[in-house]
Amino acid sequence: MKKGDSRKTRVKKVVSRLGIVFVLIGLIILWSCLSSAFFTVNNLLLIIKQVSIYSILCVGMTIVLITGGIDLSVGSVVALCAVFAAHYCAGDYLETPLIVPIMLSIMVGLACGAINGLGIAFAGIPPFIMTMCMMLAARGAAYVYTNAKAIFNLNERFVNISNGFLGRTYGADGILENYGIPYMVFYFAAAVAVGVVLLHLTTYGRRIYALGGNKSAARYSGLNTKLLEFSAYVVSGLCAGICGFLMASRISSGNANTADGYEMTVISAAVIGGVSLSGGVGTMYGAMIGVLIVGVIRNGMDILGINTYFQQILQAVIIFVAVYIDVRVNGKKK
Amino acid sequence: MKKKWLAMVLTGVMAFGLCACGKEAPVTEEAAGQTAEGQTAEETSDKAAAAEEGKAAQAGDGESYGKILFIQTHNNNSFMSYMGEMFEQVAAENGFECTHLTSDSNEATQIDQIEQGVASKEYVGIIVDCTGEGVTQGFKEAKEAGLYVMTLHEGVTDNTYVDGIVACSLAETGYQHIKLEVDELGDSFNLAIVNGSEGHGATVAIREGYDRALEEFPNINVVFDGAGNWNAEDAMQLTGSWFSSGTKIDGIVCMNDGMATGVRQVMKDNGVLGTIPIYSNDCEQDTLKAVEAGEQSGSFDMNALAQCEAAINMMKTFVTGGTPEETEIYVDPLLVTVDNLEEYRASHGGY
Repeated sequence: MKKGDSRKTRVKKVVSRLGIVFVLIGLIILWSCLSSAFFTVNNLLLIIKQVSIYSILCVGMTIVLITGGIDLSVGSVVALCAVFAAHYCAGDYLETPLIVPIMLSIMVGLACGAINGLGIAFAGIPPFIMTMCMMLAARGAAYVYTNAKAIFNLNERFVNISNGFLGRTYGADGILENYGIPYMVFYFAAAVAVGVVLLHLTTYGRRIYALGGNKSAARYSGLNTKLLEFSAYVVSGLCAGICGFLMASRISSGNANTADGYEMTVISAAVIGGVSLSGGVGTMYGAMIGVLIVGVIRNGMDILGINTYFQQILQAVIIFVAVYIDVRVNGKKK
Repeated sequence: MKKKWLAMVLTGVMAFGLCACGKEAPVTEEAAGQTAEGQTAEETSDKAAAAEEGKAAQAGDGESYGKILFIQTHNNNSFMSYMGEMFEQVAAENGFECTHLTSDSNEATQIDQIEQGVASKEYVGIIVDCTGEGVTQGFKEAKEAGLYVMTLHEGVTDNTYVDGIVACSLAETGYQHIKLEVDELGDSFNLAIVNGSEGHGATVAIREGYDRALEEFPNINVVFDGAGNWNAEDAMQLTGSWFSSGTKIDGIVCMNDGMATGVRQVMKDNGVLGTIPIYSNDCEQDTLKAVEAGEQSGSFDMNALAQCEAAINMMKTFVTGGTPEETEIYVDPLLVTVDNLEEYRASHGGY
């Protein structure tokens, strides 16, 4: 805000920046009014637990979107990484140290991201096409790898990575006394922290904005735009790799059809949070609020017993509204 | 700026509007009163526990057995929709308040829904038509919270946290599909198999039956074996290619009626409709008409009503503190052919 701004202008700017937060608060109030089961500590923690995988994917997706690209492959890459991770902590590999499936998942994700990045930044293939090819290839590879059968009976410690709780206690009869804090809540917090620092507090983040804002200008100012673009997809692949083992742990199995459609949920969350599909505009915290909005909508509607298919309609409407705003507001700025 | 705010308000209105689409308002007067009094979450939890005790007491009067959560893997075909409707009806008739959700065939979504049910502390039990093995994690949560856990229709392999199982054996229907083809064609013929989505629980279960039958009849030549992904379009595309290849097909088995509908269309296009025996599952209206017209040999009904009744009765026994005689009930699938079609329709209200 500039010094000369009037009070009204300053209020308008604050409201503009925090508008999405008000939407989140509004939704929380709405659901709380409609169901007493919504606004409880346990349920709020549960919402964060449910969106934590989306939040990690959203870190990578936000960076990609800000460069002006898109990554349609994240859901399929998560599935591929999940089946690799599950395979190496089940059956003959049940006692394998956990670092093996975790690192394997991350490496597969990084490799997929690097292939995307090479194709887009260095071979000049449009992001939509390149990542769509990866989406098909990764999903197919997951089916081939598992022979379309789920891998289950995973190592208990591995399953605990996503399903564990801090401070959970049980009564003498074995019944749950204290819900505790799901580990996934900490992963969500870590994703937010890393994402915000990476995008807003580092030179790398500023360069990503420069690339998305005006690619030619960024190149003329001396930035290695190809390397930057490549790195964005590598980060997205890394995030998908992390989500791969978290997903396998969460559903305690490796299933090739898992995370189907996650890319759309993550893209919509980022867009709801103010990230522009045209590139150069958006914030990491906005995207995370978008993720929470998606989680709150789903959770509230589930609690109210509303059909999943209605949720899809609502999600579509919200994305439409968010993109419409993006086109009207950011289109003018550009 | 005005447009932005207008859009946000509209989004809120839309969300509010969709709430009206819910089948029932889960907010009880008691719960609403608690919220109005501004109590803390912990206090609300205590009251919820007290409400549970009240429900248990009421159960003795035969008025209400409390609230149960029923989660279906999906309800996007007429069999699953029918099953959902039957479950709600049977639950209401037996004194249960029921919240009915669907998971869009997504394992993670189903786990989320189970955990939400647990966190809400509103339910005495959950009954799940399972999407995959992963839901066991949700069952663990539910058991730890003291809820009764049952599986209906689709179950899981690991039943450590499951109190009761009600199902219709999908594997048996798979076996019977091929056995019936053998009865018509002999034990040596060219068979085409149209599977559901790869990796899906029902696909794996029915496939188990197919594999058992193929082992028993080793002279059957499986000329085509592909995934129709439970829907007519994919099945049409798949079998269209099969028929255009010129390979002779003597018999076809489909894992559901939706795909069989697509297969019949392809058979019609190729002028072979009614000449090749085809069996599937679900007894959808469209398939029953085809059975009547001699275009399909038969379809298996998963006996939705019998499954729902068995599940609700078992849950009632659990909630009232009793022990069911059986904790695993397998309802027989019912083959519907032209011979028993009218009888079947009469017993299913025209369904």
